[in-house]
This record gives sequence, C-alpha cells and structure tokens, in this order.
Amino acid sequence: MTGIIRTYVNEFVKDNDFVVASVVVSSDGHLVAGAQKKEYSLDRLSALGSTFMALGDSLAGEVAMGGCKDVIAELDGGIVAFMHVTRNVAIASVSDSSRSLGLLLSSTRGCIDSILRELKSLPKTKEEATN
Amino acid sequence: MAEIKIVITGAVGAGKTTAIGSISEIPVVSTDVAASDAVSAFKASTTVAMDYGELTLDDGSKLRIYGTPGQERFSFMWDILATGALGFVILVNHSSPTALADLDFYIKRFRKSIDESTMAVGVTHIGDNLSSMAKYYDYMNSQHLPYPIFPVDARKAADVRLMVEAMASMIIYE
Ligand SMILES: Nc1nc2c(ncn2[C@@H]2O[C@H](COP(=O)(O)OP(=O)(O)OP(=O)(O)O)[C@@H](O)[C@H]2O)c(=O)[nH]1
Ligand SMILES: [Mg+2]
Repeated sequence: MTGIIRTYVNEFVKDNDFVVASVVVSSDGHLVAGAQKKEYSLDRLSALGSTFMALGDSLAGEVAMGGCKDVIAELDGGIVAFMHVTRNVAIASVSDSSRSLGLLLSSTRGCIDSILRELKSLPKTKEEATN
Repeated sequence: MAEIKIVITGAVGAGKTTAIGSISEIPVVSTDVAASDAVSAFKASTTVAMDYGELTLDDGSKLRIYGTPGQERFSFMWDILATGALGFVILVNHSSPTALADLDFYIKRFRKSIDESTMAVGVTHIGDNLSSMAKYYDYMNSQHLPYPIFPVDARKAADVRLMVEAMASMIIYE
C-alpha cells in the first residue's frame, strides 16, 4: 500500500513545478511516503504535519464547526497546506510560490483523490485478494 | 489575582494528559490521536501538540496548565510550550525500566527554563510502593536539584492537585 501512495506523491511533486515537497503522514506523525525537490527533513515535516492537523481538529471542536479539512500556513517564501486524507492520515504540501494557494489546494486535493480511489479499490477480504 | 503558567512534561505514558484531565475545571483542550507505533501496545492514544487545562486555587490564583507531547519527534512543541512558564512538572513512569534515564533526559532538556523558574517531580505508576521513591530522591540530591518529589497517581485528582498546589506556592512565595 505504501508503495502505491509513494508513487502518487512522487508524481504529484514531479508534475507540479511549484510543489517542492509533499509528505503523507499518520495522525501520530510518522512519515508514510514523501517526495521532495529540496533537502528538507521529511521526518520533521511529518511530525509538524500531524501537530498542525491535530490543532486544526481541536480548533474545529472548540468553535463547534465540525471537522477541519485543511490548515494553511502562508509563509514569506511560500505556502504549506496540511489536509486530511482520511481521519488518521494527512498530507502536507510545500509550495515555494506565495501566490499558488488555489493551485496548491486543488493539486493536493487531486493527489488525495487518487490515493483514496486506490484505497477504495483494494480488496477488502482475503477471498477477493486471491480471486 | 495571579495567573500562573505551568508545564507538565515527561516521557510517553507517564500520565501528562491524564493528570491535566484529572484536575482541570474546564473541558481540556486535547490533541491526542490514535497511536500507530509501539506506543499502541500500552495505550491507544498519544499527544501530538499539547494539552491545556485550568485550575483556580483557593487564593484565587489561576493555573494555566499545559501538557507537552512525550515523544521526542514533537520536541519543537517543548520549546513553544516552555516559553513563559513559571514552573515545570516532570512526570516519571516508575514502572518503566528507563524511569531514571527519562527523568535525567527531561531535566537536562528543560534545564535552562527550569533554572529560570522552578520544578517538581511526580512519580506515577508507583502505587503504594513508596520505599521505591528513594532512588528519585538520591538522583535529585546527586544532581544538586533542590526540588520536591511527589508520588502521584495521575488518575487521582487529589494527588495531582497536591503536587501542582505545592508548585504554585513555590512560585507565589519564592
Ligand atoms: N496504574 C496506574 N496507571 C496510571 C497512573 N498514572 C497514569 N496512569 C495511566 O497511564 C496512562 C497514561 O497515559 P497518558 O496520560 O496518555 O500519558 P501521556 O504522558 O500523556 O503520554 P503521551 O501523550 O503519549 O506522551 C493512562 O492510561 C493512565 O490511566 C498510575 O499512577 N498508576
Ligand atoms: Mg499525552
């Protein structure tokens, strides 16, 4: 499974010029798969990713506004978007263009959709898997 | 009345989140998520950002109590949460084989902030086995750390309250 996710993340980073890194992380901050054009520590980015998502979820609870879909950090030199893939998995995408917010969100959403489609098509039982 | 920020830190499973939940008079802000690694063998969830609770003392001072994540990969939160704290509680899980090493690690990691404020140690998972407290007193003496040590069951409000009230009086009267 991790292999398929890695393939999608690699393609996502390769196909989008402004995306310089992306990590898929478990909700407790472990790197599931990641790709980058820089030399970031993907492990540290993963831990930060889960912290941001958890704070977003706590914030959503605090103001009673349901769940948190994404958390966006607009930086001087770019944007980092944190988004849920599933309840227990998130993705963080780093763009080096501070004007790319819309594109970053839609392309990351596209990557999430591909991962989710793949997860849905997985065989759910042993019998399905061997058929 | 005084507002006092204190930080509860210590290793995974020492009982930081439980302790804050035991004494907070407001619904706690919690950022626990499902543990996916070795932690899940002994507990279902782990803190990835912070815990926050409040407690008003009899003299009216309000304690703002922050809990840190225990796992070191979230250490960026340790520095954020330590800023402005007037006291640190380090919880140690006595049932862990690395209890003393953990205490040593967290004291060294927070030493600079502790030197500018104050601290207390809470030994959890010790039950009635109070003779075992000796090794923590010995350790603190050997390190010339003149701070109080309490046996605490993080699930028991009275235990946790006694410890944080002692810490608050150290802050207010020192
Ligand atoms: N038997 C026993 N259990 C305790 C005691 N103190 C705490 N616990 C239990 O130990 C566990 C502590 O879990 P947490 O409060 O999540 O620990 P934490 O320090 O917040 O851990 P992280 O957030 O993962 O770093 C809980 O299941 C508590 O019920 C104690 O003195 N005795
Ligand atoms: Mg905790």
